[in-house]
Amino acid sequence: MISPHAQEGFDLLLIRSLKASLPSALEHSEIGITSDVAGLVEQEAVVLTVSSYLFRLMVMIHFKQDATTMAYMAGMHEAGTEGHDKQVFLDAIAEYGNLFCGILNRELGNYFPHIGMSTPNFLDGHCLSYIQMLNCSHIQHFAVDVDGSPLFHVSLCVSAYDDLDFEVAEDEASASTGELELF
Amino acid sequence: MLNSLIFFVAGFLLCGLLQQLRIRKLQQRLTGMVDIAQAKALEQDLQNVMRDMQQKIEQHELLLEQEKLMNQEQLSQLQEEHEQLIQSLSERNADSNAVAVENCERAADTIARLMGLIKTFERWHDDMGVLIKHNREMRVKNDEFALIVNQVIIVALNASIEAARAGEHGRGFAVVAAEVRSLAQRAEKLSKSYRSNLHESDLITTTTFQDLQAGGKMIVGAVIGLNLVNDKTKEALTV
Repeated sequence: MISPHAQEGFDLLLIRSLKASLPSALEHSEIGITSDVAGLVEQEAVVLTVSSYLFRLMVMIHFKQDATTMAYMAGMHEAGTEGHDKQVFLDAIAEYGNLFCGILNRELGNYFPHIGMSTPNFLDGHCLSYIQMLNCSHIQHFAVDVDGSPLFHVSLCVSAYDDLDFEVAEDEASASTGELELF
Repeated sequence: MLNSLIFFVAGFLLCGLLQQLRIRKLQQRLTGMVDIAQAKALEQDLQNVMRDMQQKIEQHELLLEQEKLMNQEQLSQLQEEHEQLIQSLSERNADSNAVAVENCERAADTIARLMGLIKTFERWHDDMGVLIKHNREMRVKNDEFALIVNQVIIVALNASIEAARAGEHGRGFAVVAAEVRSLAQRAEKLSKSYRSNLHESDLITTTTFQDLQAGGKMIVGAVIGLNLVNDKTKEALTV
């Protein structure tokens, strides 16, 4: 139901939105498609949905609650790095998810005029194991690597309710930062 | 004398010759001239033709004048009809305009009431929040239940060990301990299955809720767009 062009388009728009949403501290991070998702069930995830009458797109941002992630997440939103209060951290993650998905929503708006976006919710990482229950037509996992190791992962899950076919042109910005990397 | 006579005769002959030439020339000129009677007849014909022409022109002028009057009459009649038509059309247009404006106002009223959908979405949001919280509490309770089951398995194992130590006297106790252990293992299996179900439930509940929420925003966006178009239509109708 989703053409190969459209699948590639969803992936490109997600990567473009990730790049646009990352703070300057993460501008040298590498974003690539990955199939190594075994460890993600042990992590928590923030979930957002972009819906249209043609499709439902869900993104899961899987994150660890370690010092590095907390520092980056706090830095992303200029929050205090002291305390590392879990709720502050979760709020920062949810806010980042909102920003990232907001950009994705805007990008998708260029192809689908009638869409809407949800607010973020948290899910246990084990929920990823049951993602096929959502009748997904396209699933892709992405890793955001910093200094050679993944900082966080993003899962994309698109359920289509009609034939989807659109083509996304790679913009100059994404072309200059290189091709998609496959891990 | 003879010479004089010769000169006289010669002169006479010469004059006669010259006169003859003149007469011939005059005859030639006379043949080129129109006959006066014929000219008069021609003049008469011409005058007759001119008179006829004049009469015809006068008749034409009369006809033209009559046609002009008729045309003027028809034109004024047409103008009158057009004015009536314009008046009727303008009245009808005014009526249609009024109906269109009224419909726009009704549409605006319906759209304003549709915007109340937001409250419905907020209600769903609250309800779904309660459901998600409820799922989370069930997961916590199930995790606690799993801990208890693990503890029961350990206790049952210890009981089996103690029963073995008691030897013959502990045989009955060993059977009970084995049964408890078996029950605890079944409970553990059930707890794991329940945990999976809760994860599934969490995923489906959350994504369904988010789909409703995002779909709601899509509808609200479309309604706002509709409202803008309606406002512009009303503005165009009332200008």
